[in-house]
Amino acid sequence: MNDLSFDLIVLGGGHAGVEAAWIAHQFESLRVAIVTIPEVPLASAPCNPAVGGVGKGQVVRELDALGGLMGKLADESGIQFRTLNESKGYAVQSTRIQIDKNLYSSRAEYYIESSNISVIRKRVEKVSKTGDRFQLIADDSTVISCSKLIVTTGTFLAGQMHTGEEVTIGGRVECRSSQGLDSLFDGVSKLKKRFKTGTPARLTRQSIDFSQMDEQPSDPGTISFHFGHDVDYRQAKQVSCYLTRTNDETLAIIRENKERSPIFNGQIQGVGPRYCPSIEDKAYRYEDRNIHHVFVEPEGLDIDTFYPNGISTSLPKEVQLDFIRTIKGLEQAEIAVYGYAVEYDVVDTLYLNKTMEYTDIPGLYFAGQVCGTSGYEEAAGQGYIAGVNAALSYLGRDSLILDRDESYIGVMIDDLTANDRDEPYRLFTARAENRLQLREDNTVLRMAKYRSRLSLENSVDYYNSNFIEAYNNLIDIIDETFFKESEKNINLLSELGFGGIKNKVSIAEILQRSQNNPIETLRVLLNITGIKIEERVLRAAAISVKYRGYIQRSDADFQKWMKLKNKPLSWNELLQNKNISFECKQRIEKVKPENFGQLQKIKGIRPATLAFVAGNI
Amino acid sequence: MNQYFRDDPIVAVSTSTQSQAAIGIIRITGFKDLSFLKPLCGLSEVKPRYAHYVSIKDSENVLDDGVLLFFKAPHSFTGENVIEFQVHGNPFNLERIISLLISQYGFKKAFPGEFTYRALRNKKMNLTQVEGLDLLLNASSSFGLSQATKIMNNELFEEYTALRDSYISLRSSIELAIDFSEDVGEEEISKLITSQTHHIDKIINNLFKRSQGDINSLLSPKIGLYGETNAGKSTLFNQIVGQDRAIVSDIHGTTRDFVSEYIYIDSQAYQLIDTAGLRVSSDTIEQEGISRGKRLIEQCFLRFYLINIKTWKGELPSITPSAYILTHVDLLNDTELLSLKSRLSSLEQPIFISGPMGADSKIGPIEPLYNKNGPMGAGDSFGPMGPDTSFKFGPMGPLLFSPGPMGAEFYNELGPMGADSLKSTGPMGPVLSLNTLISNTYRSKSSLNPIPISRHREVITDIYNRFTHVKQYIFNNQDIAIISHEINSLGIYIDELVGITSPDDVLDNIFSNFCIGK
Ligand SMILES: Cc1cc2nc3c(=O)[nH]c(=O)nc-3n(C[C@H](O)[C@H](O)[C@H](O)COP(=O)(O)OP(=O)(O)OC[C@H]3O[C@@H](n4cnc5c(N)ncnc54)[C@H](O)[C@@H]3O)c2cc1C
Ligand SMILES: Nc1nc2c(ncn2[C@@H]2O[C@H](COP(=O)(O)OP(=O)(O)OP(=O)(O)O)[C@@H](O)[C@H]2O)c(=O)[nH]1
Ligand SMILES: [Mg+2]
Repeated sequence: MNDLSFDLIVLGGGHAGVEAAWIAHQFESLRVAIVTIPEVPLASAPCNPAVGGVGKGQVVRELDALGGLMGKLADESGIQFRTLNESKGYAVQSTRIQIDKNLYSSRAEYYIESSNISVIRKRVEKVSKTGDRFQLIADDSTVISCSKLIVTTGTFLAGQMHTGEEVTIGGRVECRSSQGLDSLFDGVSKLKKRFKTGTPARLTRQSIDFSQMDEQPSDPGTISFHFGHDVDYRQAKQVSCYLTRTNDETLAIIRENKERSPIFNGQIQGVGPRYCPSIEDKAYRYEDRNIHHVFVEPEGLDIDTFYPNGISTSLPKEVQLDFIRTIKGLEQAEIAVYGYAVEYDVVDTLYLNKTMEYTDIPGLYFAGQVCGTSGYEEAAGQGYIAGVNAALSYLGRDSLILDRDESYIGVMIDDLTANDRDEPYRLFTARAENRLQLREDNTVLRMAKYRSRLSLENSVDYYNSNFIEAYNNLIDIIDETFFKESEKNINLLSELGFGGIKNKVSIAEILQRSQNNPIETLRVLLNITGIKIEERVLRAAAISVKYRGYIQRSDADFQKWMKLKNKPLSWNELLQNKNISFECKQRIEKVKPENFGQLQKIKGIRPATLAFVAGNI
Repeated sequence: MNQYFRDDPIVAVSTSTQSQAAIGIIRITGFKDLSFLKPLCGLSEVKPRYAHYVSIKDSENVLDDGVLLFFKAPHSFTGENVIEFQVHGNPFNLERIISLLISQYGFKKAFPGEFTYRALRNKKMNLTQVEGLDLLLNASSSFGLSQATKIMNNELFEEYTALRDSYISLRSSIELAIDFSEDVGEEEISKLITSQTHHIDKIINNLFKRSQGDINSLLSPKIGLYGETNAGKSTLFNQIVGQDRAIVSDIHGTTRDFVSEYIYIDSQAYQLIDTAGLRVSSDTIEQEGISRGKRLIEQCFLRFYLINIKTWKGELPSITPSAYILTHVDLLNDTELLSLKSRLSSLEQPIFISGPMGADSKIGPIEPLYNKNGPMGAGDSFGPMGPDTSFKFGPMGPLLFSPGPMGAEFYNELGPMGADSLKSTGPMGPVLSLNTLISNTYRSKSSLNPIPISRHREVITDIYNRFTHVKQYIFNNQDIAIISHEINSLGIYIDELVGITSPDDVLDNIFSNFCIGK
């Protein structure tokens, strides 16, 4: 190694780290490096081999429009594409891509290696700060220094894995762990409680009887993530996933072995993700439910193992095999790698500001699972925000903060930095107030203004501005093209099943009619007029027009609600108030809400207290 | 509203200052220490909840003697230190003591409702209770008083939080359907949503029913008499109130403006109103009286249309009456009496009869009908009107028969009556039956347990309308993003009902009703 001093270092080469380095390196003058444990490939997927999902698909597209990497990697390694919630309305539809996890990592390695980002494969043992530079000391005593440090160490900090009574040290299976947060840094506050996450056993391909399961083929209609790819871009061979279910017998075995479950018997102290529960959680929490979905998903085209999604577990090995073999199609299943749970240290995100910078240590940023989130997309989203802001700060420029009313990334960062983390954070659409607007189809419209603030002028910037121009033109056409009440037009629309004409009707009105699918309708109407429009623009316009009425109608309500939500309050005064219960005060003190909306979100605040506070601010 | 955000010690008279009452109470709150009591009334020590006899002094002058009660924070109405002085009630005396407290001891004059506002601020009351207190202080009916007490006891608030709880469950299920249907399964979620929608629908419907209807008629019920000139309205009015209150004469248009008196039936007060007779008149003053009367009649909770049967040509009023009262029946001859039934057959509401004044009867007996039509044997179980149940009028019909000669409709409106009391009363006079009609109507209206606070009624109506809409969406399986969007805005209204709402939106409105000293 020659010069080991950088402007910006990303510690950790997971999904957060890769995204952070990728955006930072786009500021060409910056010298950027990733330092990561050698045995862990870049952007590896230790759990579910899929990218996207409800709410998460939106994050991937937001990243893509901001110049991120995740969408491209997912497209290129995608082996099964699906649109979730397809029957439920456009605002809640999300893309999910099953990835070949080896291909995914190797694409990430390829892009990073072929960029000017340095990759240093060493495990870091200690981080210190002298003056305004950080020194990273690796286990071979190499010292690497930088002015901005982004920590994306995932589940590795004092990582400890559990499979039944077996406890091993490590950040994930067959990988070393890292020092605990305390030993790695001085003066960084971690959460008192550790977090925990788990993963199911992997099953070998030939031991599974797929004929007993419901096949879910790849959906050719699903739109690829990356703006530069055709909508139906498919690089890898497409394969199927399979659906089966647990049954009475499965759950009986799990319940019988309750005492041997590390999450139940106290062996694991960490808090698990409520929204990604292990099968033990499901068994003990919902006593009367025995049928749970299990999606059996390939981990890759040339990988022999399948991932049974929905039965993550840390039960002893023989119990894992027993219960898995009660499941239809898995009667002969062979386990290649046993399921386990991992416990790890989490930084207290209340110390982070909205750029993900640690308030008390300027120049130090955190992102990813080390911040108590779970999921690749959440990690990548934070990685981007930390990366872009560390770079901007290095260059002495204004920071970039995404508004929560305009993006899921903004929702997540806001939630992470304003609320108490008492369990792993997973993003889903219910966390957003403005769900009708935060859609996949209109991502470019929401993100372009943020991206353009970076003045980077890459292909994404050209795409974004062309998109917006085409969109605006199309909206004009939709609003200003009318079908007059003539015999020809009446016949035309009625033949197409688009409804009647009174006096005249605009394309917009036709799209808004509840019986019409706005996308197909617009496509047909544009065909008649002979106008050619890019599919992504067409979808954005059709769906925006469809929801326009609802968004306008609720504006008054929204204003009313925002008015109260945005009312500032002094949490300090609330703590002095003798009328608020001790318990509520404790919660308030932790979160330090600055407005009524934040107070309302704190769990366990009684309506009487809310009413009281509302009446007094 | 900002005026309320202060911590100064405040003072006000808490009793009425309109009249020369024997006792007046001056209340102060918000003071931190008690040292002012020494110079003010010579007390160096004061015991909470103990009656101290004191002289209030302006330096050496004794202003008044009275009783001092101290309620130590937080065990007081406002949650702050409170003292009540019970002194002589002369308004001038009260004013003199208040001036002293303001000029010498730094007290500020309270704004209307400020004491209550402090109770709210110090969580001694919730918003609903404040509204209940408003009602309690201003109610003029037993219904209003008992509702107010219930509200003060938090019953309504608890119903609202129950609504909020079930709303939150429904909202969660909808979110579940969006974010976690892969994990939980479509079928299970849609079952959950359906059952929760039905559940909340029931709650909202019940609240909505209770928020409809004319609450004013329960809070201050009015009974109106109307009809053409010389129908006998003023005569009947005087008979009912038991005094010569309205002028009676055989000149058409005697009553020019309305006349009203309180009457008490089953210890409930009603305002009985006599109005100007309806006729076409060129006199603008009389016309004005007539149109005022009409407006009043429209607001009445019960309205009786009087018909002078001697001169009646079959005209019916434009405002539908609760019942008809026939006058001048005593002047009908036998043939006219026999044709009465067919003349009245087009009237759909119950019919009462008012006869001429007898020596011992207020409204007058109904002998003419007994004698001419009814099989009037003493022990006759059919009562005055005979077995002809199709005959619509007759004073006591509905009480004696079920469904009775008035038809099922009237019977239902009155509600089932105890058979015993009916029999023992026998054929009652119209005064009595009229009273029964009035108090039963009142009782059946108040048994719907209507919600008396108008802010709540408005918000509940909003909630109902929005929910009706959302429900349609849910059952028609519409775009769930839109359903959830609508459900979220419904939440704003539900929060508002519970009192989680921006202070400037409601508080001003509520506190504007309060008097100073409350
Ligand atoms: C067992 C398991 C189960 C999971 N289950 C789920 C699930 O059910 N649902 C879900 O949504 N998500 C799950 N995840 C989470 C998902 O994998 C992570 O959220 C995501 O990978 C986090 O990305 P990251 O970039 O923050 O960290 P990681 O992908 O964990 O990357 C951390 C990086 O930091 C590097 N590193 C750590 N310490 C050091 C050091 N001292 N020196 C140098 N380099 C270091 C590592 O080499 C690695 O490259 C699971 C993860 C694991 C391990
Ligand atoms: N015989 C008889 N006379 C009645 C009866 N009721 C009222 N009268 C007489 O009818 C006349 C008119 O009565 P009022 O009570 O003044 O009539 P009103 O409806 O108040 O008339 P306006 O005030 O002019 O609208 C008076 O002379 C009453 O004594 C009745 O039942 N029988
Ligand atoms: Mg009169």
